Amino acid sequence: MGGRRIVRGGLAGVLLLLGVLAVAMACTNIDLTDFNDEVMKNMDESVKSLDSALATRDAKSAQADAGTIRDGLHWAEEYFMRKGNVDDAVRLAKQGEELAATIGRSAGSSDFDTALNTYDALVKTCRRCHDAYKPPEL
Amino acid sequence: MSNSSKTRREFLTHTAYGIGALSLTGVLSAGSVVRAAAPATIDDPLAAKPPHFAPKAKSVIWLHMAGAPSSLDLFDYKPELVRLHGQPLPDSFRKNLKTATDGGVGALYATPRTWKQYGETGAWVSDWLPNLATQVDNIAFLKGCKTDGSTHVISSLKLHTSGLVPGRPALGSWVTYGLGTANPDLPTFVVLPTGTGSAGGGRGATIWSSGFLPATYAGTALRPGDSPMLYIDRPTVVSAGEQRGTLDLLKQLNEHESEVLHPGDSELEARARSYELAYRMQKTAPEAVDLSKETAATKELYGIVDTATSATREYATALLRARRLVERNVRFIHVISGAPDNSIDSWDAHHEIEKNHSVMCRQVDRPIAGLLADLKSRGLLETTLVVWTSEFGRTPYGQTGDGRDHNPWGYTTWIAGGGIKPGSYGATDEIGLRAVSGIVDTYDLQATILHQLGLDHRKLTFLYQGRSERATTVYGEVVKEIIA
Repeated sequence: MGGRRIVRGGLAGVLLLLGVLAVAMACTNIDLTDFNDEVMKNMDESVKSLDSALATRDAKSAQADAGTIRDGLHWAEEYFMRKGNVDDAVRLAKQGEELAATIGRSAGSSDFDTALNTYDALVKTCRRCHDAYKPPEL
Repeated sequence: MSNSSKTRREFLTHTAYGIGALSLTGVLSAGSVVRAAAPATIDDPLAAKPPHFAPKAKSVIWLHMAGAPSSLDLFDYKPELVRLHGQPLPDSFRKNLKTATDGGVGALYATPRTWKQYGETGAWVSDWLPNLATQVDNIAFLKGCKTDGSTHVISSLKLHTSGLVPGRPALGSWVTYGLGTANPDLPTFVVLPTGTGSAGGGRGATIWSSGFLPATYAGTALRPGDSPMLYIDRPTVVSAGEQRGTLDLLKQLNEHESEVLHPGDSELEARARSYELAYRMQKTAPEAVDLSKETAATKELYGIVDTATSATREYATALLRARRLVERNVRFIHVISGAPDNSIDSWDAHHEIEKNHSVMCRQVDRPIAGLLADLKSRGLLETTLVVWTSEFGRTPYGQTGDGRDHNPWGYTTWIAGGGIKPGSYGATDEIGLRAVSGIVDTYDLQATILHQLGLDHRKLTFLYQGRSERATTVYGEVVKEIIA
């Protein structure tokens, strides 16, 4: 039955789970009290604005939003580098910077298909990092 | 808006009540602010619209467990929590743990449950849900759910509207906006609140509001009990012809105002449409929610028995009505579980969880199992998504000695039917505090529901105040692993 296939993922699934567990446990051991929430809030707003700008083919706004996101992720990359032992967060931040830069360039040349596809990748990158490191808002 | 039009609105409202037209307050209230919104089509915003791709599901029955049940005592078996019962929360779990309610972090707490694996999927279910346990082979358990917020209001808003503050549309409103109606004689988005207590309405109409979408997409709440709709009958002193004539006049006046004086005023359009819908519902709605034609065996299946004091009666009645609405192509039915009596408030078991969950589980267990079995036997489960969800879960550490606090970090949601593959997906950590794999946020849940209905959450957009908005904000990934 299909359900059994989900439950019994085999050795590969177990190894993947252990990897995820390791990341998750690592995230809970990082002191994030000095994290600048304002930077993240600005990025959050810019990601929403960028979504709309791309949907409405507003190249100028898209470039501006992508720039804000790229700068914020650069700050996050440096923050996690200073923290140490969070290579995954550094990698995700850097990846996000590159994606944001691509979106800005694509929007600037009116290549909105590329920009939209890259935007999806950017949001997934944000999500990977948030799942691992971001405490929920209370 | 001018004073004169306000006065006219009031006049029309009172006239409508006066002639006994059905009051669809759910359609019109909900605190909607829709100044800048334009309906999808001016002619008929509820006209059926094609999906983005072939749907697997036609309807959703959204079982909102208001107050937040404890996954740890129902579906998420944690032997390690049982072993560590009474010990302080280990330091390894405390880091970055923000607690927002007053109870603090008590010792780890395990209730005296007995657990068993059921069905071919081998899903764990506790002794609190013996009937639902027989249905696990129809269910996909999402055991790595997480959300934001730790208060009922905020997390309920996020669960239903993807926002942390009021003003965004509920998922049922987006579905209605995206697909239109499949039965113009009934509301497309129906809310069935049950029970008593503060959670009986699930935190109020903001969770079934149309938000910035036109007001016509808001949920329509029906009352619990034997008279779910007030003023459904035409007053005996008004003839059918008089009623029709009055409504025709109202329609003309509203169309004039809408087209000439206030074009794009979606509240006015929604009100005008509600009169016509109410008129049609006078014929269709009573039959849709009338259970007298249901067989004794069906009522027995759901747990509807004759005694008014039955623990399951009201909730079971709502679920049987939900099935009847699904049969009549209502797209989204939001059932809210309040407490069956005044002995408790809701699932919100900050103390006496043993008593609380005993009462709440007894209320929902048999009706939900009956609903799943009934839908399946009628061939409706294939096209109906049944979703068990709540604003968050509850903590593995205790509170006030015999309760549990709110837990937004890791809990279980489940989905049955509608092209969903049964089994278990995702997990929480060893004690059930945090989701650690197969993480499903509320955005993902919404994206998955929309996907099964044939809607791409990235393409279902609405321009509001110059910004392209969507149901899942900028987030949301379809949980492809559970799709059959």
